[in-house]
Amino acid sequence: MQNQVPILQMGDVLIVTIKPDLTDDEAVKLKDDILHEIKKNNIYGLILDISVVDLIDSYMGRILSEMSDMSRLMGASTVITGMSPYVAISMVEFGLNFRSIQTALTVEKGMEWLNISRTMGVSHG
Amino acid sequence: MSASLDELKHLLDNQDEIMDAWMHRLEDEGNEWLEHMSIAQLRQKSQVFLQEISELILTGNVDYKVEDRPVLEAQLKGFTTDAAHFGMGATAFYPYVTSLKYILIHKLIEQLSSAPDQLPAAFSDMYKVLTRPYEYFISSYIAMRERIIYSQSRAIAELSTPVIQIWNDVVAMPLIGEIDTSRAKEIMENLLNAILETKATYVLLDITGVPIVDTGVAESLIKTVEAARLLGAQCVLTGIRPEVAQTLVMLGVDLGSIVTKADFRNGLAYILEMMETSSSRAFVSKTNQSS
Repeated sequence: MQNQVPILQMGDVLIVTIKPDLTDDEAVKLKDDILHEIKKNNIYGLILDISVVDLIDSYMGRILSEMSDMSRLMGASTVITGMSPYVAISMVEFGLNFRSIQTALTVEKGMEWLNISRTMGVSHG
Repeated sequence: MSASLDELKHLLDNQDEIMDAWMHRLEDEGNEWLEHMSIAQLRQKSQVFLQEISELILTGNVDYKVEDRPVLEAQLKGFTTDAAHFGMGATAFYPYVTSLKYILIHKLIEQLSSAPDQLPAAFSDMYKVLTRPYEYFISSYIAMRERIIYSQSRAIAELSTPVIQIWNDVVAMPLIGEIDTSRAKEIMENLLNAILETKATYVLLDITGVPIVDTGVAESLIKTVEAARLLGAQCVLTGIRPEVAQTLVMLGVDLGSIVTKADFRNGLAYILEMMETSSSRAFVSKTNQSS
């Protein structure tokens, strides 16, 4: 299949690198793929890496929060990683703040956070 | 060549005499330059200047450009550097040149007493020759001061938003002085770049040194904290003085989304506690995984 966004699996965590020029069709396809992966492989966490994205407009913002909300409904927590300073500045200037989504500096730190939140879940449950 | 130029040339046959009169006059006037150098030093500097001026008059080159006269230009640059260095004003050169003008005017009047109709032309020539250096001085002085101001403001800006790495994963940014729109922007950019550089997870933002915290400042702080969170770093705002807390509540500013502590020490203690709990949890998770 052409232009497919790769979804990497590490243990029970999915890692997806979002590309800057994601089209509507690709986004729909990607959401579908991620949700199926979560169901099929008993996924605990989802890392959306946006280090190559140089602008997050309302469209991209909506896609990211939709992905996060849908994954949460299926029991997977989402971490957005690798946002660059200028993207962050323009986002707060536009009033987008992703308050409900967890963020981390790097994929590694995102993994760390997922591990910590998993223990919390274990200890609470 | 006009007759007036001829008269000016005659006048300059006696350069030493003019120089004596000029220096004498400067001394009488208590010229500003003499506060920073002796009369002998000033005389030495003025010698080159007078020679250049005389040469311009003698060659009939009234409509010259200072940039085309390397010796004169270097001389004037020296004057500019001195003036900026001694902290003299942009007008420092004016009384100095005016003195010379006085001397020359008097000499001209004396010399042309028999032919007063030539006076206006002679004055105008002399005026032209002496105005250019003055204009050059003013513009190069202003340019120099602007360079100094620019470099100082850069230095202040850099000094005023330092980022210190105080622990593994922890950076601190003590803010000092008033925060305006441009500084708020700079603070945000510096902090975000520092987070990226140091890979910090926790940020201590200390506002002990910020005299006024109003709605605008609070808003910019909230934006900074939110942007840092988007990058994946957690901010703690410290140094909220009692009066600042009061003002913020009176103004109805909602800082509820930000962790705030009274002073730096409490903020650091809070962060260390957070680090400890998260690292112990990470440890538990690793042991769970391996078992």
